[in-house]
Amino acid sequence: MALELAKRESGDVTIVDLRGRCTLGEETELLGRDLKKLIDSGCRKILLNLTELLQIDSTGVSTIVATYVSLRRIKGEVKLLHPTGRVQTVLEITHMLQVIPNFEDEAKAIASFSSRTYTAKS
Amino acid sequence: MPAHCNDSSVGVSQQTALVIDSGAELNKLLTDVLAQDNWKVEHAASNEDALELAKTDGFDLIITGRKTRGPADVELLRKIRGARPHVRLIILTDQWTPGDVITAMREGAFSYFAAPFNPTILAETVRAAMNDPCWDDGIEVLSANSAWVRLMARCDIETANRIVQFMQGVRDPNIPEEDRHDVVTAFREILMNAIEHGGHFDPSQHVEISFVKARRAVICRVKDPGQGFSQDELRHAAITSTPEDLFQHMVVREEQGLRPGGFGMLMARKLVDELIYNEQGNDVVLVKYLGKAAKSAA
Repeated sequence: MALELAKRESGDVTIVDLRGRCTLGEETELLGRDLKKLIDSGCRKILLNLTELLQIDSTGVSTIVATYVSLRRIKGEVKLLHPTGRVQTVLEITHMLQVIPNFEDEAKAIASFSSRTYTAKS
Repeated sequence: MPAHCNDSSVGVSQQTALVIDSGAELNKLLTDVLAQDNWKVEHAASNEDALELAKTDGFDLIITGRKTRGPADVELLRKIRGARPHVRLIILTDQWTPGDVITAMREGAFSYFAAPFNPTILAETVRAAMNDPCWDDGIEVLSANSAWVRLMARCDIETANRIVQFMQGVRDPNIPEEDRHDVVTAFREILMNAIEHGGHFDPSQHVEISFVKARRAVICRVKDPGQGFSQDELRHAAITSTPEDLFQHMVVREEQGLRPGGFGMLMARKLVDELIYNEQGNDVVLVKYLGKAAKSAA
C-alpha cells in the first residue's frame, strides 16, 4: 500500500496524517473508507495533514472533496494542512485551495475550527 | 499482443529475489520490502555475479545495482530473459540516457528508476513486481526512436503505473523539470481515464499510446478501446462546474451513482497547453510547449 494513514486527536479535532501517494486504486479506497468511518463515528472536525503526501491524483482530490461535501451537509468541517510541491500544484489547479481552508501551521489550523462542539446528531 | 496470462502456480512455493549491490541503505530498503512478504533474498556484488547466480538459481525478481550504467543493466536483462523469459527485473541506475529507458521497456524490464530514487515509490514498485504474476504482456513497444515512441498497454492500473514510472525515468535534459512533471501528471490522468472509462479495467483490452518529442513541444496521444463520449455528457466532470459552485459535478456524480472523481480532464487541461479529442472522444492528444515556446505561445 502506497498510502499510510495515522490518526491523532487534538480536542474535538481529528488530525489525519497522510504519507505516501494518494492515487487511484487501493490508496484512495482506503482514504475514502477511513474518512467515512470517522464521519460515521461522529467526527465533525477533520484536519488532513498533507505534509508528507508525495503525490495526489484526480481520484485523491475527489476523495477529499467528497468528504468536504459530506461534512458541509452536516455542518462539519474539513481543512488541509501544509500541502507542498506537486501536491500543492494539483490542489491549486483543481480549485481545492480556493474552497477548502488550508494552513501552514498545525496549531493555527486547529485553532481555526469553530468552537462549537458538534455531535453526530447535530 | 498476447492475452492476459493466468498463472495459477504463482504463490505455491517461496519466491526468490536477487538484489545487486546498491549500497547499504538501498540494499536494506529492498531487502526489508521483500522479506515482509516472506521472499527469499540473495545478494550479488555485480552484474557478472548476478548472471552467474541466475544460471543456477531461478530468481523471480532481480533488482539491479545503482552503480552500473543503464545499458549494462539492459544487457543483463537480455541475457537473463533469454534463459528465463518471465523474470521480473527492476533497473536502478545513477547513469542513464532517455534511450536507455526506452530500450529497457522494449526488452521487457518491469520498471526503471533513474537516480535520485524516491524510496516510497521504489518500495511500492517492488511490491507491485512481487504481487503481479502476469506482467510481461502488459506493455508492448510497437516502434521507437529518439523522437517518437509508440506502444500498446493493457487496461489495468498496475500497467499504467509501470508506464508512468518509465516516463519518469526518461528525464530528457532538453525538457525543463517543471514541464516534465506537468506532462507526466496530465498524461497519467488521461491514461487512467482511458483504461477506466474506455477499457473498463479489462485486462484483455489495450490502449494505444504515442510520445513525440519535438524541438519545442512534447506530444502524447492516448487512444482507448471504448466507444468514446460526447462533450455534452460531461455534467459529472469538474470542467463543467461553475465558479459559483466548483464542486457541483460531485453532486451529479452522487446522483448517478458514480464514485468520487471527475477532476482528471480539468487537471490535464490546466497542465498542458492543448488537449484535443477526436469526434468520438476515444482518442486524445496532449501538447505541452516547452519553456520559452510556451511563454511565446501565450
